[in-house]
Amino acid sequence: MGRLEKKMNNSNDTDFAKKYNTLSRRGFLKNAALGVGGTALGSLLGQSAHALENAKYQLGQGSLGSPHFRPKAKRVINLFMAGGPSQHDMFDYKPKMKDMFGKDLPEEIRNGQRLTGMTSGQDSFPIAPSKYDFKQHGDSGAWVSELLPYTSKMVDELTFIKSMHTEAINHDPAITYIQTGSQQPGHPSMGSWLSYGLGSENANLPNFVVLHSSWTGRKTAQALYNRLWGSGFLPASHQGVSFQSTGDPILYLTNAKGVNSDVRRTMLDGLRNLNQQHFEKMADPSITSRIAQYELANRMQSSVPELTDLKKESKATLDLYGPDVHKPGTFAYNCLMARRLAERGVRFTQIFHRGWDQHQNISGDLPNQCRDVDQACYALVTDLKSRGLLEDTIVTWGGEFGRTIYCQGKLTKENYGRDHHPRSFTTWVAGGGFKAGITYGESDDFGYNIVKDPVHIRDLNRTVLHQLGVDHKRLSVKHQGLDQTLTGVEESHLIKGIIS
Amino acid sequence: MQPAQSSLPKQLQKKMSKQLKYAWMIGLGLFSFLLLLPSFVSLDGEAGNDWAIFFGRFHIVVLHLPIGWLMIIPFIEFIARQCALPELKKAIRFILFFASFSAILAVIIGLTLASSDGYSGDIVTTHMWLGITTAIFTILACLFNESFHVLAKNLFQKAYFISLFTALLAVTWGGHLGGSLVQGEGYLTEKLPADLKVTLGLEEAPELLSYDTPIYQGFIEPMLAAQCMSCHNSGKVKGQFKLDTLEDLFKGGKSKKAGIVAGDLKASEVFHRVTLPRNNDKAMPPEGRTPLTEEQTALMRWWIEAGAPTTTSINQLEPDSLPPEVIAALDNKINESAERLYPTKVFTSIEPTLLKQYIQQLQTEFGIDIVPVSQDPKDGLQITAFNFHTSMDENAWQALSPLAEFISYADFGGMTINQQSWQQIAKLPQLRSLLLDNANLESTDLAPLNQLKKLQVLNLFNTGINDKNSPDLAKIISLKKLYVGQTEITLDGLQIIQSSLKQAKIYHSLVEQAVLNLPEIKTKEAPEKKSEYAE
Repeated sequence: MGRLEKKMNNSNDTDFAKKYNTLSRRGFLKNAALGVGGTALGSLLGQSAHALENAKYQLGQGSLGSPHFRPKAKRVINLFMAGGPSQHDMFDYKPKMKDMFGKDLPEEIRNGQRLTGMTSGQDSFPIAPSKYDFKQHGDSGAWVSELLPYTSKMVDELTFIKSMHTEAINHDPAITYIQTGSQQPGHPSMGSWLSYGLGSENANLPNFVVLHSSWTGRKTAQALYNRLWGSGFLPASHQGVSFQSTGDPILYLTNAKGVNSDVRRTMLDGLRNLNQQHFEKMADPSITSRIAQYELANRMQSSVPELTDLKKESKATLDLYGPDVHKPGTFAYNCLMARRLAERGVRFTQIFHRGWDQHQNISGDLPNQCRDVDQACYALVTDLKSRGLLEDTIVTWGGEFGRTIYCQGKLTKENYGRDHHPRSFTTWVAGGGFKAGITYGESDDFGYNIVKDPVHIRDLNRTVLHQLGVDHKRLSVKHQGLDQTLTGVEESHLIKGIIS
Repeated sequence: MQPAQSSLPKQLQKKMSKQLKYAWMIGLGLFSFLLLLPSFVSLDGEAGNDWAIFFGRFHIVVLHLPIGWLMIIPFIEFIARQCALPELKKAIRFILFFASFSAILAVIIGLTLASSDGYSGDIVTTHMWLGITTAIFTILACLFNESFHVLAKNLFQKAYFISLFTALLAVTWGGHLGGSLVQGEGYLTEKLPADLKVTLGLEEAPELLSYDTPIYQGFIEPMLAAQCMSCHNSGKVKGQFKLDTLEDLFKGGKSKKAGIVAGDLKASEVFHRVTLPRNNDKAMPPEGRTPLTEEQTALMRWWIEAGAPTTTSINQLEPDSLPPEVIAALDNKINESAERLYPTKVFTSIEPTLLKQYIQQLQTEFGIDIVPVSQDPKDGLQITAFNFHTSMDENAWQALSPLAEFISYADFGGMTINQQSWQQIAKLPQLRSLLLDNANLESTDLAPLNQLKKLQVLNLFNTGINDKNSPDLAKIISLKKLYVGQTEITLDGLQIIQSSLKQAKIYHSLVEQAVLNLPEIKTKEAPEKKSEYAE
């Protein structure tokens, strides 16, 4: 790192303990003016109200100062299909399975792999070929099933990775793993890492936003926990801000009756002074995070209503997202919101869509699930592209793992179920310098094991970081005796075949 | 200086002048030998036998001997005179003898090399005659010097000096040409800063390449010039192949195979030779020279396959007819030329505390955020205005001016842009991406934008531009991507832009078209089935 960056970025020091334990009052004020808590302390330092209004910075630039190398992309929108969408019925076309209907999965294919508690008791593992029609689409000739007519139209924009794999086989460890790079809870999620490393471009909105969507599949779906978008051992100001899907996106942002913005400001100033005093006594960084969050909340009183006001969206845009776009909390509405967040410079937006855990009743559940997301995904990618945002926004679509080729429960031609399958599943990526219109990696005829170009979830995370100009090894903090990174200590690979 | 011969016995003096006569006779014999030597050899570019080449190549070693011997003489003369050390001059007598001997040897071996190792052309011929001139005048200097020592006539001393001077001139010029033969012309000045080369008249001022530059002139010819012309020019026609004109290139050389056959890669000897495996004897450029890069061969392959057009520019080709690797190769060259004309300046030239002060002022007073694009200062600075509150006024531009020349990425999305803003934006010479989506354009005079020679991405989504702006947009020849969705630009306006910027991607009414072509969805839903399953 050059001399300049060192001088320019006071917040560059990743060693929190060192930084805060040696903090004197004078040192803190100096630091605050340059970065941490700058806004909060603006008035203490006697700046004008105007300057205070304009100044940003809960944490100014990110810990890296600027990306390690020239970034291809600046932000990420992750479309998370929680539960494990069935690649067999959507993307990973295996024509040879048609003739193997009901036959037992050969032992050499499973090869002793551990199973979940849901199917480990089954006597047999009958192969359940997809009942849905597959066709090749676009110039790239990507295979997509009839369940996704909209996605079929944009295959030439997408990078299909058919060789994703992970170790985790149950929902919680698997989601924790893909989100944070570790199966054990307590690590920061990708959005937090990016917020921490690359900083915020828009001081008036959170840098990491989480949106939850309604779904039409089976209602008893896996729960999601706050820690999945938590900041782990990074400062709390980098955790994802989860918007409410109904009513006010963020609770209590509107002033209570009888409280105007001046009163609110006076109250916040008083609160901040108290927090400030407490911080000087305790030197606990979570207090500065708290100060920053109050200030951000204050700014969001005007920025969030502006964000959610769709009046200026063209009719064509709204039509493209489909009728659901008018219902807050739907996946379509959230996709439009994600585009609006991307447009406003928000670093990481994550949309969760639950209900993809089809242990049974694929034919009842899966078409509905697909219908929830299909048109909105197409609309999002098209909308981003038309606005020039796809150039520097990475859109990723996928779940925490895939599903088995063999049937869980009763197999009929009409209906079947599938268990969790971590050894091979499909994810797609669009924009941000990923190669458009390619299919990368391959699974065997059973869609069970990978036969070509495997991509571990860690590899994809590393590749996404790379496109954002970040060397995955150098975005790290010291914690529990390790230089912690999103990709962990295990080997990871930059997948050059999917980026241009 | 006074020769000491007068004190010598008369007999000895007589003997010496007799020896001098013999020496002159041998000298005259050598002259005729040297002058006739070229008529025994032919510089036709044909390869001779390997032994001749083997010995010939020692020319490169031997030639340094006469150069060294000759060069030392003026120093000895100078020191002898300045320090009054006349006895030093005795050394000159045998130095000149060695010089003469090695010069003759160099000429003989040199001619062996030239005739057997495929040399022909003006440079090698001139070099040969200069080598012979060197040898002759070195011998003359030697003989005149001896004559002066024996006969002590000042006329001989004068003649000695003139001969020595001529030999030195010839060896310098000839040596330089020899260097050009081996290393290629312009080897010495190759790494001179480009600006200085232009000032010194060594090179023409570079032109800015673009998609409008004829492909041959802008991309193929410079590549051949850099990679092949040092051996294949009218001065040094190796393998009877030269590249001085387009006809020469197509014609080919000694092998009688055509250099380039439009549309026929296999018949194009030039392409065949540059793509041979490096261990093949016929691979070009020969061993020791930098081979063509993959990018360069890709470019040549495409050019030949496309019919080796000589005047067509990229913009005259159909869009998407160029393979991506060729586009990448051309883009690299275009970027290089832009870089040469408008070199990137790095902001690290500003004192860090001052830089920080500028950045903070812009941030706190105007809400404009400036950060380095990456940790490599060459990537420049980026401006974003997500936290912007007021219109970008004169003061803001003033505050920005010290950093203007480093800005490579500017996002003024949603801002108000007036006439002055356009003028100021045009003064950001390094700008590659200019994002003005949703901007409120008080002025739509886009003409200043064509001053931005590196601009590749221009986003005017949802702005007040219309067809009247098309001609100005069409003039931004460096553009790769243009976003004009949700504007009043019609298909006619688009046509104007696209016909000038054929390879640029123009994004227009994508959403509107997508809405018109939504897929038909089967209304029949799968039967709802209540789930009994619970985990």
